[in-house]
Amino acid sequence: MTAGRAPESPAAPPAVGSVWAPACVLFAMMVAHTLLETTRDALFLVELGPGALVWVYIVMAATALGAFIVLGRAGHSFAPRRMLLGFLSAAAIGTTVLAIALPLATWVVFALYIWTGLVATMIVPTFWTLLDRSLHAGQAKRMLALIGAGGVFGAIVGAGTAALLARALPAHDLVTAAALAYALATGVAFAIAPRPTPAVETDAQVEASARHVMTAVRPTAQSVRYLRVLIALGVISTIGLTLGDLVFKRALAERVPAEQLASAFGAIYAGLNTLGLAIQVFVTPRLLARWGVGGALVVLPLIMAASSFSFAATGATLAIIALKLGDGSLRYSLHRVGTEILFLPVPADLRDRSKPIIDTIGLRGGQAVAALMVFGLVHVGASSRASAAVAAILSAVWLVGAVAARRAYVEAFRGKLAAGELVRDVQIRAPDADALALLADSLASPDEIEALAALDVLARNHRVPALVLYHPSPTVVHRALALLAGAVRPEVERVLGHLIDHADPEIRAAAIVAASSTGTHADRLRAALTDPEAAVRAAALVVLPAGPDTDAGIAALQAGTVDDRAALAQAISYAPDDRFRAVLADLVCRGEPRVTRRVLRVYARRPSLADLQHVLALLADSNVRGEARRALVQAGSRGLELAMAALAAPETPLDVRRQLPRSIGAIGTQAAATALLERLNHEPDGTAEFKILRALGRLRDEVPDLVVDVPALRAYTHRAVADAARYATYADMVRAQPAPHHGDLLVKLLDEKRASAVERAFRALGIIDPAAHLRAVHDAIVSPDHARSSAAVEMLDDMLPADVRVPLVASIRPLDPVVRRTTLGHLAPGPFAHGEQLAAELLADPSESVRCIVAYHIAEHKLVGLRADLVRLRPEHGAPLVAAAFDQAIARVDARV
Amino acid sequence: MPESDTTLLRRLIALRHVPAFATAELDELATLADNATETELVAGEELVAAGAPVPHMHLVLAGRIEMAGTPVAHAWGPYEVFGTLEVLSGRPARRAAVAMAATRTLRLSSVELADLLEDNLGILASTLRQLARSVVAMPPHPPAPPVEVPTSPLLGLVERLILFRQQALLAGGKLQALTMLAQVSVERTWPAGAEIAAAGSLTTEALFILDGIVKDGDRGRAGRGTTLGLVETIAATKHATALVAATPVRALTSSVDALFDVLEDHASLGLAMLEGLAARLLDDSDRA
Repeated sequence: MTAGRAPESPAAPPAVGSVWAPACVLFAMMVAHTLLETTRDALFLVELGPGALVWVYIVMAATALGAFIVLGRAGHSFAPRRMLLGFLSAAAIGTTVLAIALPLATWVVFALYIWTGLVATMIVPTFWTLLDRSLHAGQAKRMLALIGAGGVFGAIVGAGTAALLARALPAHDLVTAAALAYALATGVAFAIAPRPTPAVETDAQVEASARHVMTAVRPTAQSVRYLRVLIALGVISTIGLTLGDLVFKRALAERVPAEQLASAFGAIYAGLNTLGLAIQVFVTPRLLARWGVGGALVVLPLIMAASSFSFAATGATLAIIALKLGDGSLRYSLHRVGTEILFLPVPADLRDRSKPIIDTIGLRGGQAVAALMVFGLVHVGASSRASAAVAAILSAVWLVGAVAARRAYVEAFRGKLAAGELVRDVQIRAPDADALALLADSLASPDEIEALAALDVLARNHRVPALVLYHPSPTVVHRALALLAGAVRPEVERVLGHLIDHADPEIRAAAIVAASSTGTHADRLRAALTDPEAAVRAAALVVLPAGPDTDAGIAALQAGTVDDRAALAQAISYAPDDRFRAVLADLVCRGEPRVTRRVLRVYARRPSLADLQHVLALLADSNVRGEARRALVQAGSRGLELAMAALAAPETPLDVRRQLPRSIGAIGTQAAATALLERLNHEPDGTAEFKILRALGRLRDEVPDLVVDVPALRAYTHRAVADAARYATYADMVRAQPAPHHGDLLVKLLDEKRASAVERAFRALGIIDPAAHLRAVHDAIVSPDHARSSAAVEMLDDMLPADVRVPLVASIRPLDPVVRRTTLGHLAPGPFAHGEQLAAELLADPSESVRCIVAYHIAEHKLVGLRADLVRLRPEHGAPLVAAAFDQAIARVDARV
Repeated sequence: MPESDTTLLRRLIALRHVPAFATAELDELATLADNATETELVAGEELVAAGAPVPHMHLVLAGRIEMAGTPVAHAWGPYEVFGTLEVLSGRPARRAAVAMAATRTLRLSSVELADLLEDNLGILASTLRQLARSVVAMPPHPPAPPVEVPTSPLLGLVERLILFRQQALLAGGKLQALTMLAQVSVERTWPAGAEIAAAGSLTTEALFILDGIVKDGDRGRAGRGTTLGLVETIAATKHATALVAATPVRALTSSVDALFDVLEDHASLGLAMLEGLAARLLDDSDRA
């Protein structure tokens, strides 16, 4: 099927060229913002003093409310790109007005501070919203760091420009420069700001399938909870950073002369931003790749807590510099990127609406709370060091919040995948009153199919009503009698007289058996011995007491036709007894599927009658496999022991061995699970190994408190991951070779082997942790949908240790071969100097199909140098076809010599 | 997901009416029922436009859906499934489908169907048989051109793979599935004049002719590179005429048991076969 079927590898990600445009826009914005911010800080501290910062933050929080409302309304009406251009234009105009007004009154400085914050509140979230509309989780991790670097670079340039201009111009003129910078940023954004990617569906059927659409129309309870976590984290982090920033500014104002503040700020910010750029470019991507978003989020609060505590304890200038170093270098790099990534699990439309608001509440709300705290600290006469102690405590709280946010982030992704997941393995529950009423109505329906379906459901719960025996359809009556299995309730007994005369011989037969258990209609039982229908005769022979006549009759049926024997087996199934043991053993050995199936049903009802060794052998026959399996399962521990012994025995035929895992799994006990697990790491046949894994997975789903050998499963997982890595590397190397005739065979097979190994790894992990929904994660990872694939990879960051996750993801993703080899390290075979070495390596692979295809290609390519390897590696045991493949290859190579 | 057990049971009973699901296990049907969605259409409402993709199958619970066509409109009433062939083959709707009255349906998307078929072999096998029987019942049409047969005197694993990959019904299967099929297939020979299959006997194996000529009753002769009985084997139908070796014949045979054993472990092969069968039925319908 083409529609919606996932290829085994996700498609290649978009080109990195799409990084530069948004990076340039952010650069221009940050030049203007930092220029204005640096000037603002210097002007404020000089003209109003640090004490006024408290009031400015409170007013900014109130202003943020207005911005909040504007952003919310604008978000509904305008596209993010248009909003960004509007806000940048307004920033340029407003800053120009303030630049003109600044010399007129001191309070304009206060207004400038508010204005700077307001501009940042409007512009920055809008920019990131615009970017979010274009990126999936995987792209975000790769591109946000680089785009953020553009912003950091802009901050360096802005701060450096401020520092330089401050030496030549008064601070008021720098505001004018900032206005010009905003005008330039507007032009840059107009020219190259990205446009949101339209909702293109690679497959319209995926789009139409509501279960696989990642975008929610209404926020779910989980989304709302997650957004609250993000708000809380935003507020806490902002409080910590703001307090730290206020402590730093206060300390700096105490130590630096007023006329040098502007250039001091400029120089400090430039230095910090340079460091921040280096971190953004070199540290952030590596840290994200290695530790994930969780690692990214804890670094800054850790530094803030440590440096705040150090300053509080010692008062050392070095500590406050370290605090600002951490803040300045990480806030707009690692921390910003990590915070942006936290929004990725949120559905797109909800993200668009809520992110600007959350950013505003987090930033301005946090600043307002911080300002109130500072106000309180100032009011009680707390020193800078005491304020730093408060900042240390808050940073510790922030650290805890970051850990909680990471957990919530993974859960949000899990919820996103689960929303598109199918409901599997549905079990029909015991029917309640309403369901019973429905089934009773259906049972009375003249529609045979409806009645049969209802009958089957009722039979599950041992609720077959006697009235169904009056149904006009012989098929329904026959099925009901079979389901009743000879259990004659009083209400059934009343119907028997009517059924013994039924036109359908199968019904007559079943009624005769049922009547025999009540001791009624004895004359009609005897009369049935001469019935023209074998089914009726067989039923009478089975229920009448043993004797020479009945034994002769049974023997006659045994020796008769297939229909006779099937009728005999059917009759015995109504009333299985020890005296029929030999008859059943004879019937089941004749190789007649219809008869064998009926005998196996007898064995399922009465396992003590079965030769389980023979039943085991019947698993190889697909015509009777289902019944054989049921008989084995009903045999309980006896069946399990036999099946376990057969699985462990190397001489068990392959076609039986491959059916054993499912049969053992169907027994459904702890002993069955233990037996399968013991075999998993030792099973030589790949198909049987996969079936063991599948059976274990089913068992794990059905028996939640099953005890599993986790170390054994982890060892298996590592082996599967190693296989995936090996085949991924082989496929890369084979692709690089010149393509021979039918050359795609080997590459395709290696890709399939890789995909199978990945699936095995996920199945094993799913057995270790069934609650992790790893099947959904696996399906999403191999899906052509980038959003689902990226979301699934994000979840792996939290679920799996690096030594499993890194090679697993490297084996799945379409990477450059060199990058894949580097990432896989020792798991990647080779490299090989030339193709013959590669062929020799593949010839020794554990996979028979790989070896056969390579042997074929050696012959096709006339690789005479590998003849010795062909001879050496020719299998002595195993499938004859594989040995034949090697023999043919040797013969063809010899013919070409 | 259904809101109640009665809804699940009602859907399950409705699904039981679908021939492909007639022998499915109750739990398999329950899984299908739980993942389906009920939809309602008003009279005149277009279900799918001409040329548009058909992302869902619809089991009609009540009402009627029609697809205008010549010489006669196709129609689907209660317990009939609209869109099966289009969903399985991935082809767009040939003509618009419209609800002729207030109609209720049970809707299953192609993605859900594929996942469920992979998980529930019983339904996969039933659906395959059903479709194969429909293909067999089609009027005869020109046979597929013969495929390239590897020249080895004895076909090895790789040669068998190459042969299978050229079969339209098998080409979409994964190599691992075809490898497994190759391993369980058997090369056989018949002398000239030998009866390969009797008229009226059940078709139990597919024949991939490697050498020689097989006379197929009145239908003609099949030579090297021709496949006989693959669809009939899946459909479990009987040979209408006897197959006789007109010359010494060598053929690779794949039994129905072997084929379904492979499907048990490689449902993707089954899905690929469903796609091919559905496409054939649509092509035949277009020709009619």
